[in-house]
Amino acid sequence: MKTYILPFLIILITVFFITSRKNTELTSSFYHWENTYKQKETKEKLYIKILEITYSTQLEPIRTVFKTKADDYSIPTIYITNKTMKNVDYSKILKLIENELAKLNFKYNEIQIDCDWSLSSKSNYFNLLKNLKEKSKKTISATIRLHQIKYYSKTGIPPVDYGVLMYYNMSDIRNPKTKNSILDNTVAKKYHYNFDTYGLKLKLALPLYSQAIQFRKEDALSIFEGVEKTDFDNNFNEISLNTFEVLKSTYFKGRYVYKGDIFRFEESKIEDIQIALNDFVKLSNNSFNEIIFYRLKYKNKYKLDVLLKGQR
Amino acid sequence: MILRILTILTSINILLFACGGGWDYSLKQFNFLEQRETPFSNYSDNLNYSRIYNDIHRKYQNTSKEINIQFWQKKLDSNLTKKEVEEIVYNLKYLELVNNQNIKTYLQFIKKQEINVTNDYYTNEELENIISDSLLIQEALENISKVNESWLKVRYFYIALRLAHYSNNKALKIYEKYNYLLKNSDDILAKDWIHAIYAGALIKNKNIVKGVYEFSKLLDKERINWHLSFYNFHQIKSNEQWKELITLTKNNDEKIKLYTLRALHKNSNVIEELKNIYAIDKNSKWFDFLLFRQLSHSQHFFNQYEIIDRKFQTQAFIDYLNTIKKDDMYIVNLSLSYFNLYKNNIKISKNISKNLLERYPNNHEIKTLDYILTLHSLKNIDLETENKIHKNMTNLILEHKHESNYINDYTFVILEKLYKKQNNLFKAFLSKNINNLEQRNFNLKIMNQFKEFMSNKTESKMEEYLKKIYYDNKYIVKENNKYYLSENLKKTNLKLLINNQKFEEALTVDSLYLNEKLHYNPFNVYIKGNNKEGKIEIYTLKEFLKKIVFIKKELDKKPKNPMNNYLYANVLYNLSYFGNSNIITTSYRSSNYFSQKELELEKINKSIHFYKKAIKYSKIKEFKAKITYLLAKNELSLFDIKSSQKAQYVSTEQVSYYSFDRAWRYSKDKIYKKYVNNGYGEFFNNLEKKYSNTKYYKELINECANLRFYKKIKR
Repeated sequence: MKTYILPFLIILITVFFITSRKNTELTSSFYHWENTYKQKETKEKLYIKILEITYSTQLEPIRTVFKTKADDYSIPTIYITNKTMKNVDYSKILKLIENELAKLNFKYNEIQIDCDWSLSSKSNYFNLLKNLKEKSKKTISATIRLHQIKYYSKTGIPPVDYGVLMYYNMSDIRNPKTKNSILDNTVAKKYHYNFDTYGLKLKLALPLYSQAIQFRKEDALSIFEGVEKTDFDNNFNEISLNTFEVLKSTYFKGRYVYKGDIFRFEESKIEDIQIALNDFVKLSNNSFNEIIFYRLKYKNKYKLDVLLKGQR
Repeated sequence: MILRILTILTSINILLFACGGGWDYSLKQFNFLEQRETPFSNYSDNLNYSRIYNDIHRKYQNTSKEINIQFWQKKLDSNLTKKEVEEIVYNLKYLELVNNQNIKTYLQFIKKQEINVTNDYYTNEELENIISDSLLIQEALENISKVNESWLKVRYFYIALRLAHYSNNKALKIYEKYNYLLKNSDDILAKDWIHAIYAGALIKNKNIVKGVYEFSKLLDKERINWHLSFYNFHQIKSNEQWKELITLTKNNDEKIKLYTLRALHKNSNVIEELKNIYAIDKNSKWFDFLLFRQLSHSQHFFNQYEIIDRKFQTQAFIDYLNTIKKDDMYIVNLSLSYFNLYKNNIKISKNISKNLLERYPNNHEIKTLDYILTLHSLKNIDLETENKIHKNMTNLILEHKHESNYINDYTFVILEKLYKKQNNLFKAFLSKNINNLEQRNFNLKIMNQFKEFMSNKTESKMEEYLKKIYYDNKYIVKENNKYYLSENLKKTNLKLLINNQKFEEALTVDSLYLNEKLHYNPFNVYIKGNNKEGKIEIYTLKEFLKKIVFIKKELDKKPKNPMNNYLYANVLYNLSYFGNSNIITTSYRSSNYFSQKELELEKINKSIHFYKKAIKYSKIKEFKAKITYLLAKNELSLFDIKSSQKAQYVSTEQVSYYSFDRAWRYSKDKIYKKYVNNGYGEFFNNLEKKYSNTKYYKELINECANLRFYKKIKR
């Protein structure tokens, strides 16, 4: 009889652990992704972009200007283009990051790195992460794209403490045929593989923004972030669902647009965000209870507390 | 220090797409146009790229510093060197050389207020002792009255205005009161700085349209801070502001500048803006300026590795430009000729260039266009054509001072294509590698052809030119009027011979590399990994080669000797990608890729052949068990090579690189399954069947992960 007690106990504990975890409330946090930080009072946990590192013929850092002091233990986040990782030795990038972190006016325990690495930049990028961890002695997290989970055996798993799955920017924004580059759950489903064996614990990042892409002769020119569908009520002709043509050259949202230019309106609808969240919860058995929303300035767009309630 | 901070005047809007540096169009590979003096002419890409802004700003800083030093040299003492002037003005050194007390006071004042207007690094102590802006402004204004020198008054005016602007302290009032000082001033630098601060102060004071209008006046090659005209133009955000801006202009030139500034935005529809300008003044220089920038931008056409479809509206430009009638049609026709070339309308393009050449026979830009068209008209290549091209190319290069090698480099781009078309792969290789004869691009055949080419007499001027370039770049050396390989290429040659198992021939190469020690013993094999156990430097390359040549000769005499068969097989395995001495066969070794698949296959197949002979003629069971295991290792390598695929990103034209699953995957279960399912595993099976009672097998079970994987899959 005694021999059955131990396995039974293990099963019981496991079931308890799983069910209790599933019932845990989800919490929210936000990305602050501007070039100037001027928040006065924040109650939210923030991941603050402090630096963008791009590369042309040399390193081109773009630093966030802090007009106010950020809350202690916000998470400094650094965006690095893949081109940078392909062209610059990690030690130089590390030096730049260290210098920037040293200037911060708030305390932090974690650093997040955002880079859409590729096979050719993988080794350099992973070296950067390893060395950043060693030198900073902080928690290091890294953003992960959907394709990097599906193909992780090739793309590798970054050597960090945990990953943040960016559940947006999933289709080619420049392609005029794309329906919604921000969040398209049909596209996302194509990447629902290997979550069970992926070697990093994940947080989920979800989009809150809307935008319009400006095209001329099928060439994607720029993004108009934060526009609403009603912005296209005047001086535009809706030529197909969410696609608008400029009728007369004019200033639009602060920029000059020309007759004949085409705009594709995209938004992250609450229904789609809900599906994305549900799918992630079902898929991932190794995740945190925290959802990071991109980005802070749209935090009031939807009732996020309702969205998160009862997901686990 | 004065000059470093002007940009704080402006709220520069460096546009970068959310979540990324985004669509960074890289630099052009070729540009056959001459540089222009008009502001922004030589920057045809997005002016909001940080790379471009930083470059413009750096140049502005350097130029204004130089002008400032010249200015101070006149005011201090023309006998002082520029370096001395720089030390005096910027670092307050050698002040004893300054006789005028007013100047000394001014320079010290500049230093005193520096902390208030720059964002350089300052200590906490310095920051605590900062003097208030108001006091400094007051002191600067008082000094305007105190000093007698009119130029010093202007400089104090500038300092006061800047302090006031930065601290939002009635800058416009100061400007109104003291701008009379500028009337007779020849201090162009201070005048331009003051103008920009005045424009910035207007914007800060919510008079945005007037501020932008004042900034737009700086769009002039004579103004030092011309870049501010564009980098403040984004402040115009509505139709109402635009209309108001237009009403402020006093003449057509000012009005056209506004359209020009709007057209400089990366997303502007330049043809529409050209139409707007043409309607106001068809002969405006700004029309030519905008068109030139488009022409310059369009030279991306010549990029050889274009991954972006730039969607340049070539035909729309041709259609529009064909309707233009200006007094000076130079830029229009130059553009039309290039645009027609892009559309492959060579005949039309040539006609236009011919007319241009008749009109401007000594114009280098047109001669270059004509040369490019000649290159594009070539259908095939022979020695006579080589000579003609060489003559035209060298004439063009020599007649004009060039800051780039575009003409030379593009010539060889075209030549490479022609040689390839004619299946002259060796000359295509030479053309491709004209500037960078990369060791990794050689294979043995090309190396032999290259050696022959170097030692043979040249048949054309172009061949002579190629040799000269290789010689100048130290790829080859010259002795007694004969060319030889450089040490680097000798090393490459040596490695290629070893990779091709031409060991005896390798010994004859006169290279210092032969004296280098090998890091591992190529005759040794271990259970673990790639035989790299314990770095040990026993042999020089020469000693290794002598030994392997000896073993091969012995094998030819006594082919049934098990030990020699075994040692020879070990060497072949160790020279492969999977062994411990692969580095002596290749110039570029990656842990994830191997090159020259056929040679890898050959080495492994031969290794298997000699191991099989060794096992056949050996009578010692333990030895046989070891050889069987080595055969299994070889078989696994064979599987990897056969299932490998060409890696797109690292392969070059001459040498392909291959990747295989086992080099990448974290979990190897699937790969071993594939290995078993494809009929591999003969030697792992033999090990278990025939040698499971050997000591070696027991050691294997503990040490060899491959065998454990195999057994696991087989179960």
